[in-house]
Amino acid sequence: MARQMMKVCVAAALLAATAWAQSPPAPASAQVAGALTQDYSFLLDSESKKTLDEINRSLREAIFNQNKKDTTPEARQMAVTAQADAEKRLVEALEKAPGVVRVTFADKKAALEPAPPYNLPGDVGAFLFRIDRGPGPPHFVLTQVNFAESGSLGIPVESTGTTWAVCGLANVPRMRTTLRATFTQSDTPLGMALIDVMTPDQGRLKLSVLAAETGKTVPAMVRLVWKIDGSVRRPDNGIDFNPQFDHQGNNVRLANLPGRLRGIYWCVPGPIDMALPAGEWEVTIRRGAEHVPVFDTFTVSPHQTVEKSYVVRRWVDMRNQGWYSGDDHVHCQVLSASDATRLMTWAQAEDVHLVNIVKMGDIYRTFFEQRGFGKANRVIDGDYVLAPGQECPRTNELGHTLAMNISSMVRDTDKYYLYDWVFDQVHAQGGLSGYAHVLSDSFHVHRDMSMNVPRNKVDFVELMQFFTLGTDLYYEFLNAGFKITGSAGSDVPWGGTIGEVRLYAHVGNGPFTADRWFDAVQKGHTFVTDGPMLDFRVNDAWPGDQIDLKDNKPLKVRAKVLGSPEGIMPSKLEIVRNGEVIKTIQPSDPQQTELAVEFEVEPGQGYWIAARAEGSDGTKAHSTPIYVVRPGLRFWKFEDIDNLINKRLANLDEIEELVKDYTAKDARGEIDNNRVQKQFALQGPELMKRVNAARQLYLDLKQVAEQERPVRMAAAANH
Amino acid sequence: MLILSLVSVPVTLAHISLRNYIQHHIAITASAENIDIVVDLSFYENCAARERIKMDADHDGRISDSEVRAYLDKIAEKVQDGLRLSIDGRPVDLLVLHEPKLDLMGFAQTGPHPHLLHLFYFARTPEALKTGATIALTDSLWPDVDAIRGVEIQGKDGFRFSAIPTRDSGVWQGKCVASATRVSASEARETSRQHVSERR
Repeated sequence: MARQMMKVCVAAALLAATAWAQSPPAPASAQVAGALTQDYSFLLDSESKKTLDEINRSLREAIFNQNKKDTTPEARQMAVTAQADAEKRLVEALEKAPGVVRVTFADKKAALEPAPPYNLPGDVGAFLFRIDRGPGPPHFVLTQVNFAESGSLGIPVESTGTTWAVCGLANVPRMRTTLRATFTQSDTPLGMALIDVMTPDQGRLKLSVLAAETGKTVPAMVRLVWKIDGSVRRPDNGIDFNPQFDHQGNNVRLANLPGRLRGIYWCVPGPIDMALPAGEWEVTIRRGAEHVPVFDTFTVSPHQTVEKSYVVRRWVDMRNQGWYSGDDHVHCQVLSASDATRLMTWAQAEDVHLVNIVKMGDIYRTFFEQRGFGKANRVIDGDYVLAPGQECPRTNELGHTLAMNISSMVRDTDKYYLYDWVFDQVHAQGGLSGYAHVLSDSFHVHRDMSMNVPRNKVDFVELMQFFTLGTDLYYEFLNAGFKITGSAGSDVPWGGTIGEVRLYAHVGNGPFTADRWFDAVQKGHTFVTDGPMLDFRVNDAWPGDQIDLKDNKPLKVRAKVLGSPEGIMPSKLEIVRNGEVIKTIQPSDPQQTELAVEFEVEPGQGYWIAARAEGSDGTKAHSTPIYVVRPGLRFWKFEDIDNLINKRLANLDEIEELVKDYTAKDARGEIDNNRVQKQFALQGPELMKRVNAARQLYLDLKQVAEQERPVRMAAAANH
Repeated sequence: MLILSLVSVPVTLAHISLRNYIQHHIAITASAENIDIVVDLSFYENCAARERIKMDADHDGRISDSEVRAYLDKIAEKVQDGLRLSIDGRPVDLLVLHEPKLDLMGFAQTGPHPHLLHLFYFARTPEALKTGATIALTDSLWPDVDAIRGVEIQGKDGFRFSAIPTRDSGVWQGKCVASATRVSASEARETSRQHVSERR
């Protein structure tokens, strides 16, 4: 069955007079101009591409202006004229296009000039047919044939005027291929033609990625783009992780990175050696946030071998300062040594030293099976470690949890909503507990946070994911005087690639080990980033540390953000105290690769203080706070505490409402086949014990605030 | 939210508690003549499954090229009205630059498999876009599905921007911190056209 794209084929004059309601479809002329610039630019030279791009915009603008609700008749007429002018320019541009094929008909046959065969740029191509049917307005048609589905092409032709038909070809087989083309007028065949197309002979690429430090080949993330059509081609040895994604992902990894770094990459373990279509190619090579990405173009010629060797080097080596990168959230099945090897290659290609491989669960089942947990099941290669963890419990009612460094999966569906039980079990194993997706407050994670953060059950929260830093919820809890470590995770396979956001943990001097890294995270010695590198200290304290005030000496704040000379330029460095910016540093020169600040700050009655930074490309970084504590006082944002506590109490009310709702439904027998709600109802009494315990803690905090008030007022008066 | 979502997924998926969110990646490029906006919407799990069912018009479980094209035609209006652009609070006409494109990411079947929808918009750069101006983009694409957003802005022809934090996750704002000395956008386009005409 032919599956051809038949877009609107309408006379230009009719188009101009047609009125659409609110969102008019683009005229076929604009679709043709747009497709030629976006998809089939190999039919054009650079100047005509620019011309057609502007014609496409003019056409769409003219149609838009004709259909504006408040357009005057004069303005509408001007837009009609603009469309006619743009279509005239389109025809002029198409007449000059080098690859026009003129079509005439005789005896039900279509004659093509120049005659086939036609040479295509590769396994994609396109025709630009000019079909002259005498005087009349021009017509435009856009069609496509995908050889994976069909080998025939139908082209509608108007009875008068010239029809310009752009016909795209996809998945064209190698060598010589015959395409059946039928030109029709009102579904009546005007003529048929067998069109032979030739794909060019291929060339060969040998590509190596070498580490500057060793001169040896290393795994890397590679993006190969055929510039003819902009398509990304898989390297011969590009690893397909899809079999390890447990039917939850796909084999295409779209990295959530800024600007020209964003795109589809393949993880390659070693040198590439493969045949490629002839033409110009663009290659991008990445090795994670600490390396300078490589951008290059090269030309592949038929029967020729192109040999390329790229050296990737670091713009910063955070290991030298004791910082090691990690990703707290990677879903991938690891059941065998080969599974582990593939995943380790990915971690090394992205230069992520500690990957928390999380088995995932919901109340019904688990995903991303692991062969085991604990130290015995860590995968270690030099200073790269894969460590099994879990994302479970994971509910829409209370949010998603993460655990690192566990010795066994903690899961009991009869206690599925009692997250504190899981947190306690994880801690008993020596692991770390936290929440995923806190950056976006997804899956109502604020509810469980309100219940379990004040009960000291939580070590870390995810602040970064998908090229996004989100701190609203984080700041609310910090401002209420709760210590929480900032973390980051890619959420592969929903995220693009390992380490696209990452947390750095300061393990200090000495060899890197997973245990030392987890210990650093437990202490809160972290920052999160998708590009810029942070250094933040107050006196001698690291992020996560507490400074116990003994006097009123000012504190010395030192912060620095580093960017790459060939990439990220830091555009802002901020020092944040209790959620408010107290210092901002911006570059005096756009080429500045480092922003630094050193200043003194009054200790006051205590607070949390952190550094955050932005890169000129939209990348961001944020440190875990340093907690400045005056004996007898909490480090909270005292002036907002009523509001902050009331928010948390309201979150607890949400849980109670859900318990009531589901319990009532259960009593009516409505949710026997809905385990989510049934279990929530069954676990309701236990949940409410926890809700009430948390409520009492918040009420206690209100009392603490009242006790602190005179002390703080006195201090303020003295100050 | 989850309850509503489960109603609309096929029976075979109803026992799995799927997530329901779309990742919005928005890239804005502002030059003297045009403001181009490319939106990549990554559909996951529940909403991916739901959209794929809409694509599969003949219900054979397979999504053909023609079904993709019919689906894209259907959503064309929805996506046109899903973004709003303003400069200093004044609306700027935002037009579709190219028809939407869909990448099924190697899996042309129904099910909760991710896919990527690319949307292309443009606006003529208004005179009001100068140093100190605030550019704002309101994203209401698929408003019934949770969104995780990332916005990038790139300036050309001397434009530079810095992001302004907002409390509304559907609104992105940036401050124009530098704009090139330039002729008006309409003059620039006219010059460009004359340049092309001269070459002809």
